[in-house]
Amino acid sequence: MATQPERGKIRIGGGSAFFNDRLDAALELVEKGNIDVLMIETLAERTLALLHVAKRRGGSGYWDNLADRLRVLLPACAKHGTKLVTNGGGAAPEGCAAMVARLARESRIELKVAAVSGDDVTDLVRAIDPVLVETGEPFSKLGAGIISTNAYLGADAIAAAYAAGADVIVTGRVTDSALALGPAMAHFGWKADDLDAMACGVLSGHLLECGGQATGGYFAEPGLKDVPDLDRIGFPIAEIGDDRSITITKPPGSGGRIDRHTILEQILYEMHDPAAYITPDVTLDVTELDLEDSGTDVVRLRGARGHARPDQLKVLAGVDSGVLAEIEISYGGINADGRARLAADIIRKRTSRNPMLGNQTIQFDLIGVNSVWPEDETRSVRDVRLRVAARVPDQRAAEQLITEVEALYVNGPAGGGGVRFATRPTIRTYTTFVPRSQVTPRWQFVEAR
Amino acid sequence: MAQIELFYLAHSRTGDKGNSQTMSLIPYDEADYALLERLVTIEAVARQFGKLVRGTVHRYTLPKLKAFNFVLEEALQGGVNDSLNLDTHGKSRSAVLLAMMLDVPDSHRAFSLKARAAKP
Repeated sequence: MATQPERGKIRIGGGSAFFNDRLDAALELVEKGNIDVLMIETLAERTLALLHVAKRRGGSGYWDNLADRLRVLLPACAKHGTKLVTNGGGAAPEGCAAMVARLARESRIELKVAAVSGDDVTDLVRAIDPVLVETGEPFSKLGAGIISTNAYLGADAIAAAYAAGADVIVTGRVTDSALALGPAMAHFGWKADDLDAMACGVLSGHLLECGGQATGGYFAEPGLKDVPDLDRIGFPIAEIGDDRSITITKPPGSGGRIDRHTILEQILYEMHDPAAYITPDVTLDVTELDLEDSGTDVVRLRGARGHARPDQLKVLAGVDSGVLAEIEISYGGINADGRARLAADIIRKRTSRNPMLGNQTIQFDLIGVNSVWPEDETRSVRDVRLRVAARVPDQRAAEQLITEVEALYVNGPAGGGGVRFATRPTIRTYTTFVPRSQVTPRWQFVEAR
Repeated sequence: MAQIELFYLAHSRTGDKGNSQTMSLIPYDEADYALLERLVTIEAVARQFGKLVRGTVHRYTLPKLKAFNFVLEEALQGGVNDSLNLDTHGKSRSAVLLAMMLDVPDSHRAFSLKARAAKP
């Protein structure tokens, strides 16, 4: 058994930035990171709607791979006395928590498992019919095809479950940073009106929620900003002090890099105004931060400032948006881009005559020439891949587009090769807001069933 | 004075929020903060992105942390909802910013950095 955590600090590990992130690095946090809490983030904007779709088709409503991952992590967490907090409950937090309790029982581990819910605001949104940010029209105008409507909850229910002694806390949609703030609030007894304390917890969560992006992942530029041992990058640990300092480290001996540069990139990641980063728990201001770079993969931050939290909670509605079809074919050698452009021209003309595709927007990219770079770079390009992409109403239309590109093998320019294609259902998201007072986050202990 | 890419003076990470692109800019050397504040203006960034950005460009300065944050509105062809781009989230766009050419003194350390980083 691990020693009791010191009251004056709490150590939280950022064990996952998405549902399939590196499991070995999360396990290393538990085994070598001396952490009190392992945070497992799994829900991107669209993924929750995808889980709702799966649930309606008889699925569990949470990620299929979660049980396999927890079979690895739970025994280690139990051994080291580490709590686990995750939004992996997806569209079914209670069902997911019951699954976790079952896994614990199978492994003969004593764990108290809590579920946090209340994020599903479908009934509330139907009742008050708020205006959508993207369209300026009321929610009801979306009509059919609405898959899910979830509010971004804050940290309060997580904090309550943690304070009550939960070993594992499973949530649906919460703001990512709440997965760290909740345990910190419970540990230190912080109250929601202590704005600088909330800011400290939110900044910690913000630095942990993308896992390796705080420790040298998504950073390397060979020869200019190198990162050692990226193949075994260590995930971040935030040690939060009762003085509201945050010390970012990683497991001893792991790869990666923590310094002013990697931490600043992650502090500003996906922020708008750095003086007003809005979350359900506090409006975070990072402009007056003190950043102390030890030079030894340790960065200490002080001075996160908090301003009043918003009276409304952000809600994301997911709506069915058809099928995205992507098909590629390669051309090589002299004038490779010329043949790829001819292939695109053939597809453009043929699809315009096809009743199922004629009204669709079809995008053509030349990978290696202009796909992620704004200008054509055709000088000495000898390896070009034509990409054809369209969002079409259904799978049948997608198949028509795939067939058109496949037929370039025998009917297109010389020497095309390597056709590959993929189709996937897509979801459009709409943003709206509901009064905080009308949303009730709940938590409960859940038994195996 | 001589020209060099911003790439050799600073680094950047791009993220997305809807149809807006967020982008940090962090000098390798804190001493270059003032130089970048003068050269990497809202107008210069708007020019660099050209037709990729249809909306307003915002720049937030962080003089204490010696860093910048940019928000480019209507920059992602509708973002994940609508874009048919290969890089739907626009995460590779920091490379567009860092290709910006700057006029800096001939003696600037970025030139030796560039010479050292040059591929054989």
